[in-house]
Parts: sequence; structure tokens; C-alpha cells
Amino acid sequence: MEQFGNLPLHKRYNEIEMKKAISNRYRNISKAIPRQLEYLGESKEFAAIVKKLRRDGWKDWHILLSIINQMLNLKHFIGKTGWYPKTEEEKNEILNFKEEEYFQSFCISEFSEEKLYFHLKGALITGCKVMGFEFRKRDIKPGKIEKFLRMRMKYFDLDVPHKTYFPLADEELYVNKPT
Amino acid sequence: MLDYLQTVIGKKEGDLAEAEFAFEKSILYFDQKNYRKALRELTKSKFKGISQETLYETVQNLIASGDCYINLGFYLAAKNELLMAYHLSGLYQDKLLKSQALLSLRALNNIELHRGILRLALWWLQLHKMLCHHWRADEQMLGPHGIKFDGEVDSSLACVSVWAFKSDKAIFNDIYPIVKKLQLPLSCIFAESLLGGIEAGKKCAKELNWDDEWCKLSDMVEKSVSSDFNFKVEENICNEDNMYICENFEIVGVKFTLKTQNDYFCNLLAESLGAAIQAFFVNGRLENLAIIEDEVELEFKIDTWDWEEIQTENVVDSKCIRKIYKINQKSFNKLLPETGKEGIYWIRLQLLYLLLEICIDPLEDLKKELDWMYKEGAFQRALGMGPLFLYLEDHCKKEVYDGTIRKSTAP
Repeated sequence: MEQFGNLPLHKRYNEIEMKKAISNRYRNISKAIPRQLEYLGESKEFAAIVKKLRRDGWKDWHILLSIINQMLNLKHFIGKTGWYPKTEEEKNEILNFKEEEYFQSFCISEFSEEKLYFHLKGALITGCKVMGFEFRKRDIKPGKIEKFLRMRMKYFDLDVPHKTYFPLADEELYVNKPT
Repeated sequence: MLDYLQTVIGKKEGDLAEAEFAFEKSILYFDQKNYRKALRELTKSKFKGISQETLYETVQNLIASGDCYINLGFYLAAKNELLMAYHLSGLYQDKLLKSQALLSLRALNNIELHRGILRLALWWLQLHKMLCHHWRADEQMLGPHGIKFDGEVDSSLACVSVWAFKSDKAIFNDIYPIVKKLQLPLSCIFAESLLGGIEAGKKCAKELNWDDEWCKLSDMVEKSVSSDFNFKVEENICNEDNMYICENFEIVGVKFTLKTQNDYFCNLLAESLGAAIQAFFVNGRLENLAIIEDEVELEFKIDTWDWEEIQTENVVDSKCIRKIYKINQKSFNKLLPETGKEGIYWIRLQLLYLLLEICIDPLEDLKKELDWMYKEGAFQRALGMGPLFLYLEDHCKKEVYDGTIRKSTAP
């Protein structure tokens, strides 16, 4: 028997709340990093990555989260190995991260499939924490968390209507649509 | 005084009605193959309705619980229930109860066959036949299951023969004389086919007047005897080593392996600890929890080592959660359900520790689930069905379980 296969949704699952959170993510992330998203949206190379991620079940809100996390990483970790926010100021900076006035977009190569995957998996753990779950062990197995979120929290099923961020990745959808 | 009596009688009648209703509900769940829900109803029924006057209903309840556990593959828990059913139903010379005793024995045989412990399976079979003879059991007493019984033993024995022939010829050589002696058609046909090929099986079928069945059987026999047929069974099949118990069971997608290395106690006592753990996992609302592990291994090492506290070891294993409990004689006594609160507290704590490792639910939620079990009576049931064990302890001082006499553990 596949794990979770016959199990009901977890009692912490709340579709309304979760959809609200997804909607907030679309709104906040698109407001925080508009230039970077525009830059990535124009790239064919990035569109191919998006298509691949979508085929694997990831939604656009997962991808946006992954992009912003990678940007945070790029901003704070360059030359600062082992950096993590210590002061309240630094923590707030992470929470309220946004592009500065003269922001220069990061290069496409910084958003490779591998790098995005790293952040997608990381977001699973933080997602669980936001839902109120606790991690008491250090060796967390992302595969199992993913399975749990997929089967019992509908993490990979939920989405809300949103604007197009990656038009080139969407093209195929329209091309393949029956006329 | 009258008021008091009315309250007591009223309560008892109310409890019995509630128990009957829960039992009816459990049958419905059983028919729907929802065995865990059926077990929960049976628990309610048992704790509300148990008394000497309702012995037959209690035994029925125990047998039904055993059936549920068998269907779920929780054989130690099933054995626990059916042993109690067998002993309780043997207390009075009542025809209905005798039929329940025979039914329990057939189920016990079935359990040992599933566990692959052939010696015990045959032991229950022998006891069943002996009691049938002693009580001059008729068809009414044996009920519809009586007719099926030989068939169940037969098909299981046939499977065991095929496995033994493919895996360990020495075991097959031990089984073969038993098969010949019992003259059960399926196992005879399979055993002869394994030894002398498909033609020998056909000949055997003819000798046993099973010609008509042969056309239905031949494909299956041919497949089993072919050299590339691999009969996969659990590792402990035909394990005659009484000192070592290995049980595998699965619940809500988690595979549990329960090992007991028992160098000191009567095996049944070690098994009852396993039964308590199995019953805990069935009765717990694990589906409410966010379990993120799919393999858990629990190992109990019981010995006469001279330390008083139970030692727990966490073994780091990337594949699964592994826990080893080293228990000495004195500590083991404390774990036995009838010896009181200390054991219950320890097991409850260990189960909480385990849940903390396999689930990502907040601590408070896990505690709430354990409290729920306690309030519902499921925890007490999981830990050996307390009241019934006490009842047995008072009424059956010398029970024969698995061929050994159980000595009282009370100081």
C-alpha cells in the first residue's frame, strides 16, 4: 500500500485558508520582485525550466517562492558563507524583501532547475512549519514531507487564478489546445 | 436504598443496551471490511457489557475482535483476544460456550498458520480434535466454520509445503509425514507434485477422489512446482525457535517490525507485550496524525540482566526508525498489564516518544490523541484488556497456552 494512499486529509488542512495564503503569495511576491519576474518571463531557457517543473506537479506559486528564495540567497550569501539573520532588523529584511530602486536582475543561470529545486524542497519544510507542524529531528527527509503534503494537505493540487508570469511557458498550452 | 438500586440497575441496563448497539454497529463495519472501526465499536461494547451473566456476549466480542485483527494482519493482538475467548468459554459446561471454544481454537490455528509457526498450528488443531471428541461435538456445535476448518488448514499447509520445498528441504522433510498423516487433499496433491512432478499430483488427486477438482487445480499446481516459481513469504515462516518472535504488520502505510528476543519468559508473556503494541496502533487514531516515516522497527531484548531500569537505545538507521528496549526480569514484570500503573505509564511514555519521532504534529496534538485513547478505553484494551486479564488470573490458575504452564507473575 502506498503511504497515505487511503488516508483522509489531515485535520490541519483548511482549503479556504490555504487558498488565501496562495493568493497572498502571488500578490506579495509579484509586488516584491517585478523586474526579476519580467526578466525571467522573457527567457525561453527559463520557460523550458518552468514547463518541466509544471510537468512534475509544481504550481506557479511554488515557482515564485523558489525564485524569491533564490534571490534572497544570492543577496545575502554572496561572500557570506553561513550567514543567517540574527538581529530583528535582518529578520525583517528577509520578511520584507523587495527589489531596490535600481535593481539589476540576476542572470538566468542563477535560476537553473537544480537551484530552483533546492528552494522548492526547502519551501516544503517552511510550508509545514507555517501550517503548525513541528520538526524535532535534524535529518528531515524531504521526499517523505513532499509525499505527506501531496497526499494529505493537497499541497500540489491547490492554486488560485493568477496573472501570467511566464508567458513563453504558457504558449505551449495554447498551441496544443484543440481548435 | 431503593433509589440506589434503581440507579445501579438502570445504569447497568443502559450500559448493556449501549453495548449491544455497539456490537451491532461493529458487525456492520466488519461487513464493510472496515475492521478498525469495528474494533473501536467492539471496545465500547466490551467495557460496557462485561460481567459473568454476559459471558457468551463477551466471548462473542472477543472472537469478533480476533477476527478483525486477523483480517488486518495483527496476529499477536488476535491471539490475545482468542486465547481469552477460548479460556472464558471453557469455564462452564454450556453448549453455546463450547461451540465458541472450538471456534476460538480454529481461529488460533489459523493465526499460527499465518505466522508460519506450524508446530503451534498443529497443536491447536490437535486440541480442537481432542475437544470435539471429548465433547462429542456435533455439526451444530461446530457451526458452518467447522466444515470450512479442514479446508483452511489444508490450503495453508499446501502453501507452507510449497514454500518449504523451495526454500528449505529439511523443513519440507519434517512437514511431509504430517501431510501424509492428515490426508488433507490439497496439501497431499501439492506435496506429491513437488516430489514427483505433475503426474504424481494427478495420481494423488485420483487416489483421494479429487479427480473432479483436478482440472481446476492443475494450472496452480503446475505453476507452483515449476523451478522459476518463487513463493515469497515472511522471513519467520516455520520459525520453530520459541526464543525469537518477529512480527510484521502495517497500519496507515507504516510498516512495523516487532522483534522480541526472549531468553527468560514464557513466550506468551512476551507475545502479550507485542499484542499490546499491535493493539495500540490499531486502536490509535493514527490517521489523524502527520506521519512522515514509513518503516519502524521495535526490538525487545528480554533477559535476566541485573539492572532494574529498562534501557532504551535509539539506533541510527537511514532507512527506518529503530528502537531497542533492553528489559530485565524485574522490569518486565512491571510492564505486564495486570501489575498496575507503572507499566502502563512506561509504555505510554515510550509510545509518545515514538510518535514524537515518526510524526510532525505538535506535541500537544500527540498528547491529546493519547488522552483520547485513554478516555475511550482503547489504551487499556491495548495494554492487555486489563479487567479480563484480572478475571483470567482469578479463575484460571493453570492455563495451558502454548504448551507451557504459565506461572503467576504476582509477587
